[in-house]
This record gives sequence, structure tokens and C-alpha cells, in this order.
Amino acid sequence: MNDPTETLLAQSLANHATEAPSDTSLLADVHTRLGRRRRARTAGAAVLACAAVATAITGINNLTNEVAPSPAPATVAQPAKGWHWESYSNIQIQVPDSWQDGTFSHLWTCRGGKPAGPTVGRPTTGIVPMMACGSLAPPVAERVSHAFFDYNLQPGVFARGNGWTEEAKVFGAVGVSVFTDDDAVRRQIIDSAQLITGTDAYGCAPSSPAVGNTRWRPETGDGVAAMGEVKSIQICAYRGTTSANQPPPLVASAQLTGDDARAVGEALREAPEIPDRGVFSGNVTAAEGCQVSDSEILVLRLRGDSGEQEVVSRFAQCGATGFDDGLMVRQLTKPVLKPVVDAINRPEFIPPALQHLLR
Amino acid sequence: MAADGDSPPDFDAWVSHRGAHLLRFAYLITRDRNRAEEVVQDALVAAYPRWSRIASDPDAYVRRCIVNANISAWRRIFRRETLVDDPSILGEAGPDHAIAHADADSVWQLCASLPTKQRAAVVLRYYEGLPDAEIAEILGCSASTVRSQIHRALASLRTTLSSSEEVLR
Repeated sequence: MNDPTETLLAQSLANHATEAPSDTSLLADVHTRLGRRRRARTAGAAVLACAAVATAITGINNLTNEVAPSPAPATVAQPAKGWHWESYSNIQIQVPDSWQDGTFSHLWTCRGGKPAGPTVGRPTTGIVPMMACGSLAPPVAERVSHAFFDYNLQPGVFARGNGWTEEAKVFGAVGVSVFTDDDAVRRQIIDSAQLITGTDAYGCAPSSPAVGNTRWRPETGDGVAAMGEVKSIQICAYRGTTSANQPPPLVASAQLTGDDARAVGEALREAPEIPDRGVFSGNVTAAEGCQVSDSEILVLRLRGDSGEQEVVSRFAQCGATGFDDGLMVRQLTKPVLKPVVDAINRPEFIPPALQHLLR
Repeated sequence: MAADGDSPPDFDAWVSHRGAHLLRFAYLITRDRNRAEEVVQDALVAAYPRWSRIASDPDAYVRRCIVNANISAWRRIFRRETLVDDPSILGEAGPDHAIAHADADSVWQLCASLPTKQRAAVVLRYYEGLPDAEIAEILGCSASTVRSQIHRALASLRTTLSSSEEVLR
């Protein structure tokens, strides 16, 4: 390359190539777009199917001159077979059913033992031992696949050696990180990650008026006693308190249906009323051994034969416990509490003082 | 990225390995960081469903997508002309290596005036160092067309550079 123009050209291109954008998030961005495209195609297929059904219904109506049936209520976004939704703050992801909630996290070296199987981790309101925590991945024998919701994540794909990869996707302040040696599973989880707009797959909003207001009570419905047989229960778990500069307080969500929902509904009706507890007291004190700021709350929405009813339950370590449907506060009982806590896979949700209810 | 044995490379592994290189190539073609990211993502999204067919040589396919994305029909309509700085102001630099640096920068500016295919041919030859046959495969033309494109591009650059030198005298 003796031509000065060619030399200049090569030099100029080499110099300016260094100004190219980084590939840090390229793979994640591509998979986000692929995921979006898949979802759009699914939605498009659904729209076409609906259009076909609507056309058929219209045709039948035209022939029979009968009134078309009212549209079915919106359904929960269906996860892939063998997968389920997990939510945290304003993000939801799909994970395999074998991935269960747990406290295992990126604080690898802080754990005393390896979980039995893949987990879904969330920042908890409890104490996290951080002394001597390291940021490096543990030895392969101690690794376990997990998804972990977290703050201040660095988006991107990171090789962790021995075929293990960590991939993080961030939505504003909150993100999700997936760590596994199964690339297909990692991709499917990351592709499914999405912001919760309105409500999540279980019908839970990222926040609730019950959060930060210990005196808030459900205002609609005629009470649990008047709603007939319970068909389904949405379970939304929130941090007990929040502030303007914190991400939305949704911690986890789930749904009970069928016999499980009916049994919980019956057990709730049968739970004894707490006398003189028309309203929760927000004035629990340190002297009573309570840590209100550490509490989490449950907001349940029960759907029954005769209507819907919201029920809020707080789990401060003393005093303010029970199920409140706005008309009556009922005692916490195992037949109600255990299926609900099991559904959201959060046994640590219950303060130690109430753990006996789960035994 | 060389695949293990005869097996084609995995998409994720290939993108992780080649992503930075593709972005540099796209940036040299598009001369815009955002646009470079966009066309590389477009190319990879297009490549993903065809991976089993193109995995034996994904480089050529993806780079062809990048070049074509930059000369798609609607963009041709709206981007017939690329603004470049007045050549007369590009050479105003000090002596010695500063002049060479200014000349290199002038070349970069002037590259913007080249049609996209000519620019792509120039990048593939002078940045990627590819032989004419491979450039031809990426650009979807013959090797002789590649040579002619590069010849025209160089002639254009020489003309503009010499005219800028005239202005500076």
C-alpha cells in the first residue's frame, strides 16, 4: 500500500473505528428484540384468531339474528408450558416451574449452603449478611441456576467460566440477572422479562394504597362472608413501606384457583374475628418488640360466585396481624395462611413470631 | 469465530465474539453510533431465524445486511446527499504529524461523500483487509465491480484532496 491516499484511508478508518459503540449490551438488545418480535407474532396470531372467531360469530348472528355472547374477561398472560411468572417491583419474568423463590442471591460467598434446585431471588427487607462477601462466582460445584431481581445491575452478558453465563437486563432502577449453564433457559427468561404496565400476569399492580398506610382498609365489596364460593384468589405481596425515591414495592405475586381457592375462601370465612379490631393499629412500638418497617403485607383479591372482595393482611411481629376485608378483621389461621404463603413461595415472608402457623 | 470441528458456531457465542467487530464495521459505514447499533441489531435479528442455514459463514450474511440496511430504498430517498465539511477547512493544521492527522481526518470527512456501496468497498478493503472476491460476495457483485468501485472512490478522494490542497496554497 504505497499510495499515500490508500495509506491515509487505512489510517483514518483505523482511527475512527475506535469511536464505534460498545458491544456490551448488543447480545441482550438483540434478544430483547427477538423476544418482542415473538410476542408480537403471538399477539398477531391471537388477533387474527379473534378476528376469525369474531367474523364467524358475526356470520352466525347474521344468519340467526341472535345476540352475540358478551366478550370473555381478559385472561392472564399464559406462560410457556412448564413455566410460570415471577414478579418483583415493576418487572415480571417467566421461569421454569422448577425455579422456586429463595433467598439465594449474588452474594455467593455469604451463603451457608447450596439450595436444592434453581431459585428466584429477591432483595428482601430482612438482614443480609454482607461481611466477607465476594463478587466472584463460586466454584462450579457450588453453583446453582438462579434468576435474581436487583438494583444497580450492569446490563450485559458475562461469561462466568465452565459454560456458566450471567445475563442481566435492566428496566430503570430495577433489573433481573439470570445465572445458569443452560443458555436456552437463560435466553427464554431474559426474553420474557418485561415492565409491568398496569398489572402483572396475576393481576397485581406494582404498588397498592395499602403500602405505607397501616390504617388503610378495603373499601369495596360486601365482605368475605357475602361473596359465595371463591373461584380464584390473586395474591400480591408488597413491602410494608415505601418512599418516593424507591422502586415500586411489589415483592411477589401468585394466584390460587379451583379447590385451593375454594378451600382458602372457606377457611377465611371461618377464621375467628379479632374482637375490638375494627381497624389495624399503626401505633405498635419498639417496646412491644415490633419492627413495623420490616413488615411486608399481602393484598388478596378473591373472586367468588357473588362478587369480588379485597382482603389485606399485615404481618408485623406483634399487634397488627390478621385478615381485614374492610368490615371485619379475622385471625391469621394456618388453613388460610399456609396455602397463600406457599403460592408465593415465600416462607420467610412470615415473621418468626408467626412461624408456628406454618408448621 | 472458528467453530469446533465442523459444527457451526452458536448464535450467542458468535455474536459475543464478533459483536464489537460488527459494530466497528457498521460505524465506519454509517458514521453514526446510534445508526451503527441499529443496523447491527437489524442484521442480527434478521440472521437469527436463518442461523441454521447461514451459520457456516454468518460474517458475509450479516455484513451484507449491514450494508444493505444503510442503502435501503426509503433511506435513499431521504439521504441522497451526505453533508461534508468544506474541504478547504479540513487541512488547516500545523506541520509534521499534525498535517498527517489532519489529512487522515479529511479523508474520514470525505468518505462521507462516497456512495454507500463505494464506502463499504473501501472499508472492506482498507479496514477489514478483505480480498476482492470476499468483498464481492458481501456486496453482491463481481470482483471486477469491486475493483471499479474502489478505483472510483480513490479517484474521488484524490480529486477532492488535491482540490483542498489547491485552496490552501
